[in-house]
This record gives sequence, structure tokens and C-alpha cells, in this order.
Amino acid sequence: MLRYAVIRLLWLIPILICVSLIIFVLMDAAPGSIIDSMINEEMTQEDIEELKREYDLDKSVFYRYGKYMLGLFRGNLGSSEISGLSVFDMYKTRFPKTLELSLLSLVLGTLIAIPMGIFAAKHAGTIWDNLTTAFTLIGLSMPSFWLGLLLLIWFSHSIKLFPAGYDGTWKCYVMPVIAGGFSMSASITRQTRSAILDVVRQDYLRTARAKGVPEWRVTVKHELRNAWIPIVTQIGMMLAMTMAGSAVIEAVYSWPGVGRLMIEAINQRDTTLACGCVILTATLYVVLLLLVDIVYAFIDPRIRAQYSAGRRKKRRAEA
Amino acid sequence: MKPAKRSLCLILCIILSIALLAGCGGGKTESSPTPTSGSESPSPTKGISETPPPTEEVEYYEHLNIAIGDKVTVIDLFNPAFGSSQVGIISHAVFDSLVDMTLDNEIVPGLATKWDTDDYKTFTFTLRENVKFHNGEPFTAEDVKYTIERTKATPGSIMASKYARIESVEVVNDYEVKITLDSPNVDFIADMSVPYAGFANKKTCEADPENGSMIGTGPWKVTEIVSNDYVSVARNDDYWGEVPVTKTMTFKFVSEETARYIMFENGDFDFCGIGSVFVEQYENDERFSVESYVMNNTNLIAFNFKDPLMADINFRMAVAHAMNREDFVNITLNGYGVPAEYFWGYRTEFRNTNVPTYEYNIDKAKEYLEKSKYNGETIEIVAAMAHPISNAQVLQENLSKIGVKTEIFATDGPTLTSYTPWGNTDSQIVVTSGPWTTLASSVSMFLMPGSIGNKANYDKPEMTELLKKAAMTFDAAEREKVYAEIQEIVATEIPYLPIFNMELFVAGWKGCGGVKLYATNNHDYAYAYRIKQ
Repeated sequence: MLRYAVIRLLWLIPILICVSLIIFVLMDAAPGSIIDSMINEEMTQEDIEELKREYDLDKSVFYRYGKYMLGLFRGNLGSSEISGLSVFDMYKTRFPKTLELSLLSLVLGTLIAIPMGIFAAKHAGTIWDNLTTAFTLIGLSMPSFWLGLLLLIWFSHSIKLFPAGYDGTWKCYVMPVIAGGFSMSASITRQTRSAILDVVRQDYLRTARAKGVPEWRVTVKHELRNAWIPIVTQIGMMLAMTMAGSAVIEAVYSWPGVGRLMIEAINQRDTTLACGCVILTATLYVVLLLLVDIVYAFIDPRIRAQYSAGRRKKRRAEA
Repeated sequence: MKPAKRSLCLILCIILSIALLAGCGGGKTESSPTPTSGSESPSPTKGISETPPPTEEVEYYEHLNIAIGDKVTVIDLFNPAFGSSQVGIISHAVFDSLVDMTLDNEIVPGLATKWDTDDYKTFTFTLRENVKFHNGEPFTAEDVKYTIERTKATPGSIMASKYARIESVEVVNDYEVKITLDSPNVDFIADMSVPYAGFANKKTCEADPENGSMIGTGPWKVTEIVSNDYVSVARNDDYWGEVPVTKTMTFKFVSEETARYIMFENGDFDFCGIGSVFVEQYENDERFSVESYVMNNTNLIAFNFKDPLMADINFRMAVAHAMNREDFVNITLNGYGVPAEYFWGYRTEFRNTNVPTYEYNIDKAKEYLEKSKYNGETIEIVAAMAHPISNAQVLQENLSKIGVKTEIFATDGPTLTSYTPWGNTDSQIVVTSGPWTTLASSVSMFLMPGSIGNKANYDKPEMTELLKKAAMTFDAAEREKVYAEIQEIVATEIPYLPIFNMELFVAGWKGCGGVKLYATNNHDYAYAYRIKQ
């Protein structure tokens, strides 16, 4: 298991090199540069040329990438080309807010989705299953900015229950968490329903019922446990995706998170900031997916057994 | 299908249809107010300015929250990124200039109490004594020299182009500084009056390069800045001038318009810029005051003179007569704007209204098009941001009526700048808005070869000479003649066609006052206050 985790983490190096190169090339290929986002109409072409020299924009993208990577290998993510602030510090300031939002959305989404998915699977083909399908369809197809705006209008403008933007109180979390959790719950519900349906006709369930095991215990201990793998994968993916920055929700609720930071960096063509954010997010993504893989072993004894078998085989070979 | 399933399908269809219709609804529709004609002076709505000035008898809110329409990335006189659209608002609060310009374009003392020049080349400023920076350091002539020289050495910093013509800065004594230009410039004093012509303390900047340059001499000191999010300021109790009644303020950027208005209505903001769609709603709401102002910036279109078709006067005349400015105002601005017949900023000095204008006349437009080099090719209309993109769509519709084929390239600001560089030869019409100040010399941005604002790629030696002559003509009456000639040439040659001047709105809760709204959009919230009702 440890070896597997180390190998997965080592894979991060080529992944990060590729990701940063792609970002650099894409940012370079996008029309406009950081200079264009700073320009005021009084500048002349000479001023622009001088600025280009200062920001190395007169050199090739690979030169700038090489320079950036040299810094990165020394553990320096660089400074924002616009504000001059450390990219790591900027990310560090914003990340807790995104983490809070993501985790709370995930908790809400999961609490709704898993019981609903089980319920739908248990009543497959009935009106309740159809209603659940309708719920997931609405959740998946409804743009989160639209839901975010509707919540704003209802709960903040009409009944003035929650603040419209981030103000640091618990109340400001409610609407973004609902907006984020809703679409998350839709996809987890769908996954749960399908995973439960896959195991629902297995012989061991019939055996358990025949032995008189109560239905709730059959569901929780046998059905759900055997269906956990795809559900956990889905939960892990959703968490990683929201942690990568729910830019839309953050924009609607003026949430000072990573998603907004990245969008602003891209809009301002701040390559160092955009690249730094993407590298940190990609690292997080890989680590989260690794954690999901590790969680598999705890959930499913068969996977744990595979790891143990591998270890025993290795020991035997050494002996 | 079973009856139960059929019923369920029907119910779901009805729910979805209702949701769809609710989403499409735009609230009640009312006719737009009739726009005033281009020759009339704009008369802005009064609201916030009618709030009584501060007195000792009333109680004020200690803290104000102000919603700003664009982000503040950095507060640093030497950083090119400081030049965002909110630079004026922040600069008014944090920095002081040597001189100030009032709303009536009158130059008044700022950090300098007196200034002299004999030849408009060498200027001697006598500085105000006992002025302190926010960290307690005294403001001296050495700081003026340091700020100007460092700005000159920092390409792209907001005052770099204005200071580029300064040849030397000589410290006569602690409170006297002599600035010499490379050539005479009658607008130099006015150039020094912009709010962002502030000064940084040499000692502080050298000791703390990261934060030193956000320490100014203004009535407010920066207590916190979260880049692209908010700026918090606290009153500078040691300010040399009048000390504001409010104690702290936060300028916050909320990108989502709906969220911004809801926050404003919920009381999260005291002041908020509002869009024309919401004006009536706020004007009719007794809780709020609304103040309007007409932007000096003229929205315009630029013809790329480097392209043979765009350089054809008959084609430009055809476009000039095909443009219905009422359409632009009604569609883009919901009726809240002033159709512009003249290229010149309406509050810019030396405005000449005795120049040719082009009325909307489809028949004339077709006649000119017939005479032009136009052969049915597709012209590209380039625009960035919401209003210019909407203008591009109206222009496309207007031009289709005379048979000109167009395609729109809608993009963002940085892309527009790189897509339309000086000297490009594409067959383009650029829809943009002019950065007019109240100084006539700001016309150089549109007409000087190589200038980023010169989207027409206009390059005529006689025009360049006239612009230089205007800057060196000391006599105001003579200078007016030069600028009149410049306007005559622009109106005749049509490198630019004006569209409209926008009317913008700022709303505040009842009791809010003290805001100076500038037609150049550099509003001054330094003395904003809110009376407890």
C-alpha cells in the first residue's frame, strides 16, 4: 500500500510538469498578455515594448517556462505578475474558504444523495424512482449560477434570511452550500442508485434475508458496503472538483476562494498566478484521488486482501 | 402508458414549463425615458448631493461600505496594475496631488500652496509644511523628486507617460521643488491635478518595498487590501486638510450585479453604482437617493485608416449616415444616455460645436456607399466588454440596412488591445469608448501616431504638428483656435464617429452624502458620510 502511494505521488512530478507546460502554452496562445491588461490609453508602443522586455514577453514561451520551472524546482511558486504578492500566500489565504465551502457542500450533498439513491434503487421502476430521476436530472442540468441567483433572490432579497455575500458569519455559508450541494447530490444520487441496483439481486443478500437479518441491516451492512466503491469514487471526484474551485458559485456569492482567484488570474493574463494555482490544485486533486484509493482498502476487504497478498508474495520471493 | 405515469409526466411538464417561463420573465416592462438630443447639455439627476453637509448636531455612521464596479488589484503608484478603472476612487482617498481640480475644472492648491512658471517649461512648487505621510514621516521636496524619478523609471506606471516629459526635478529646499520639462507644456499643472498624481515617501519605500508605496498623505490610510476583493481604509486623523466625519470605509468589489444590488438593498453597502435598468426602482424607493452623472467619455467607433476601404472617405460617410444614435442609446443604455454628435468630450475644454455632423439618413448613406470602394466584402467589427459589444450589434444592424456585411469579434479588454495594435492593416471598425479627460490635450491619445488609444491608426503629420502646437501655445484664446481646427479636421475626415455619452448612476441610502461624482468616473468618496436617520 505504501509503495503504491509513493508511486502515485511520484507520478505527480511528470503530471505537474505537463500541467504547467500546458498552462504556459495556453496562456501564451491566448490573445492578449499581461501587458494588455495593464495598458492605459496614454501609453505608446515604445512603453509597451519596454514592458514586454521587463516581463520577458519578448522571449519565447519555453524560455519563460524554463525560468518558471527553475524557480519551481527550488520550491518557489513565484509572485503574481500583477500584484507582486507570493502566489503561495495568495492561494493559502483563499484555500481555507474554498475548502470549507467544498466540505460543507459535500456533507450536504452526501446526506441527501445516499438515502435518496438507496430509496430509488429499492423502489426501482416505481413513481418514487421516477421522481428521484427527475430530481437528479434537474440537479445535473440546472446551471449552478442560476440556482445560486434564485436562492439569492428568494432567501436574501425576498425574506432577508441570509446575507447575499461572504461576511464571515455562519449564515453566509447556507446559500452557497445549498447551491453547491444540490448539483453534487444529484450526481451522487444517480451513482448510488446505479451501484445499489448492481448488487441488489446478489445471492448473499437473499441469504441474509433468509437468515432473518433485518432489512435495514441488509441495506447498510451488505448492500451499501458492496456498492461503496463507485459511490466513494464519485464523492472523491466531486470533492476534488469543487476544491479545484467552484468559480461560478464563488462569483455569485462574492466568495473569496480559489476559483475566483484562478478566473481573475486568467482574465488578467497573470501566467505565474494561474500556473501556480493550477499546480497546487492539480497536486490536491492527485492527493485526493490517492486518498480515495486508500479508502477503497478500508471499505472493501477484497482490495485489502490484494495488497496483503502482494506483500506476502514479495516476502516469499525475498525469502 | 399507465394513467398514473401519464399524470406524473403531465405534472412534471407543467412544473418545468412554469420554471422555464419564470426564468424567461423580465419583470414589468416600461418604456424608456426619451433621450435628450445631442446638442442639449446633459442634466444629471440630483439625489445624494442634496443631503445636507456635515454638522456637529447630527450623528454619523462611523463605518461606510462602498460597492465598487471593478476590482482593485494593487495600491502602488509604481505598479502598472494600479491603473485600473477604480484608481481614481482609491487615489482620492489615499493620496494627495500637488494641485487639485474642482468639479468646475478650477485648479486649487493641494500639497503645493503656490506654483510659478514663466515659460511653461520650468515650474516651481512651494510645498505645504507640516504634511505627514500615514506613517508619520514628513512630506518634503525629496519625496516629490523620488516619486517622479521612480515613476519615470517604471514603464507602464500610471503617471509614467505624463512624467516622461520631465527633464529634471531639483530640490531647492525641503519645501520648494523645481520641475523642468523637455519642452513647454501649458497643461502640465492640470496634468499634475489628477488624483493618482500622488506621492510616496522615499524612506518608507526603501525600508519596505512591498507596502511602502501604498502609504500616502491623503485623508485615508489603507489598513487592509485583499487583491481583487476589497480595500479597507481608516481615517487619517493627522490629515493636513479637513478630516472626514466617517471613521472607516471598505471598498468592496462584487462582480455579480444581482448579488451587488441585493447586498445594497439589505444594507451591506451604503453606496452602490447601479445599472440603468434599476434606476426607476431606486428612484421610487424612499429608502434611497440616486445621483446620476453623464460620462465625459464618448463612446465611439474608429475606422482603421491603414486599410484602403476604411481610408475611403465615401465609405466612412456612408457609415456616418447609416448610424442611428437613438438606437444605440435605447438598446445599449436602455434610454439613459445622450446621443453624441461631436467626437470631443462634452465637458472637455475648448469644445467646438461648429463642425460638420452627420444625420441619420439611409438614402445618403446608400449614395456614399455606391461611390465608395466597398465591393460586398465582410467588415470586421471589434468590441470588448458589454456596452461596446452591444454597440457593435446595433452598428451591425444599422449597416445591414445599407447592405454592408459585417461580422463581430466580441472579446475582452486585453485581447482587444493585442488584436488591434498600432499599425495593423486589417479591415476593421473598432467600437470603443474614449478616455477623455476635461483637458483638451487628452485628444492626443486618439490622434498621436503610436498611441494605444489611437484605434484609427490615424497618422497625419499636420495633425501631429497641430497637437504639438496646442501644447506649446500659452495664450488660451490661441490654443482654443488650434483645438477648434483639430476638431474641424476630425469631423471632416471622420477617423472616429461618436455614438453617445453614457448616463451612469450611484445610489446611496437616505442620509448618504459627500460624494463628488466626476464626469471622468474618478469619483471622490473621501468625504462620504451617512447621517443616522
